[in-house]
Amino acid sequence: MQDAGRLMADVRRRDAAAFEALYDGFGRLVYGIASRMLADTATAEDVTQSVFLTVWTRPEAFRGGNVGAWLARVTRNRCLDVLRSRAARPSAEMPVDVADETALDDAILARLDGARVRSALALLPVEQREPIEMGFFDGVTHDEIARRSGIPLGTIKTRIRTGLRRLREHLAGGAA
Amino acid sequence: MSSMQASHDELLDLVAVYALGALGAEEARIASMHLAVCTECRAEYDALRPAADAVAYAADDRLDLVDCPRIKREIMRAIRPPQRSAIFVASTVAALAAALVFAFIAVSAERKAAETDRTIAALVGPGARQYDVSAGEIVKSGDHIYLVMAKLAPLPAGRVYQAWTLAPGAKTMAPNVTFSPNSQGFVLVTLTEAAQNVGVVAVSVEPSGGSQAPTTKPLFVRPLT
Ligand SMILES: [Zn+2]
Repeated sequence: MQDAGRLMADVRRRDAAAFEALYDGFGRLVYGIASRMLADTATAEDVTQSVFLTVWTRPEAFRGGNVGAWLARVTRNRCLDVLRSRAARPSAEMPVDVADETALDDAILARLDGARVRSALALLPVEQREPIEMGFFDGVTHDEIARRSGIPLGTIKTRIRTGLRRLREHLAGGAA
Repeated sequence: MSSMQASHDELLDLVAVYALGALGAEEARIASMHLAVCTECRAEYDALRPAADAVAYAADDRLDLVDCPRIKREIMRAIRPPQRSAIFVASTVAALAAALVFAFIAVSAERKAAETDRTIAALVGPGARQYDVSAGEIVKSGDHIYLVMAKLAPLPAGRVYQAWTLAPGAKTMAPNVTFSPNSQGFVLVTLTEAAQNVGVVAVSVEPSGGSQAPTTKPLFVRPLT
């Protein structure tokens, strides 16, 4: 794919070919997040369509940084909303959205792909990988992760932090 | 000193969970306030947030080779500008979209946004047909009929607008949804009757809650031909 930041700039100028290239580059990522979080292919398609239509109608929402990381956050936030609307107990606490206007532009995000991330995650001890994946994809708070896994909350938090640090090292190491 | 150290380690852990996006509202507030004043935690956040963002990519293997181009076709169709003489619809929809986006800032935004995006896509999509009426447009797109009302007069308390449909060959109007415009006279309504069952659309003013048959002279009665 061409430089995604350049494509976003072209989308702002209503360039449909640039928009199409963005879908080619990130359609699988957006749909994959939605499908994994919602476990429902029809709603995942709706969210995918809605995220890309937002890119087309409000490209100014992207304020710079890494385009893939930004799209991933926008998608995750929209899925959290769907999960909130589905929640059987509306009182059960859901995680708050992570701000998506501050996508960072970090070296480890520069050439990411799914295969690399999956193998980096696979290198983590399962007790670190599981709470990270639950926290990212399941729309639950760390309290809920602790409750479901029967592990003290303090331990869960430390494992998430240690796991993210290791994940960062694996991704940085493999980048060369 | 050691207890302060312990509590700051806990904050560093909390910041990591914040980067992952797995905190509830109260703890997220604590984390973000602390991040604003603590350079050590800020550096930790800046290092871990990209790792958390990277986790998303683990899910990029779920779209198969059949569905990927199909979804792309639908999205590309939705963004294509209307190729018919639909200047009125296009400009109404643009104004309406702006009004809706504005309204949604106040209401629970994100959930409705997906719905609105889809509706707007249907309204300007290539299969859509529009029918002029006094207060705006009726748009038929796929199975749905939309009322895109751009200049409805405000109504006194206790009164609403109500839509009516007449099935092909039927003799009496069937009641459909009731609605009220926003302060600019805009409203976008999706009729609850499938498009193939509707030959005529009308709108009248009715008491709140709606009527079983029109009680006032309709603003318009529009055959969809
Ligand atoms: Zn700190």
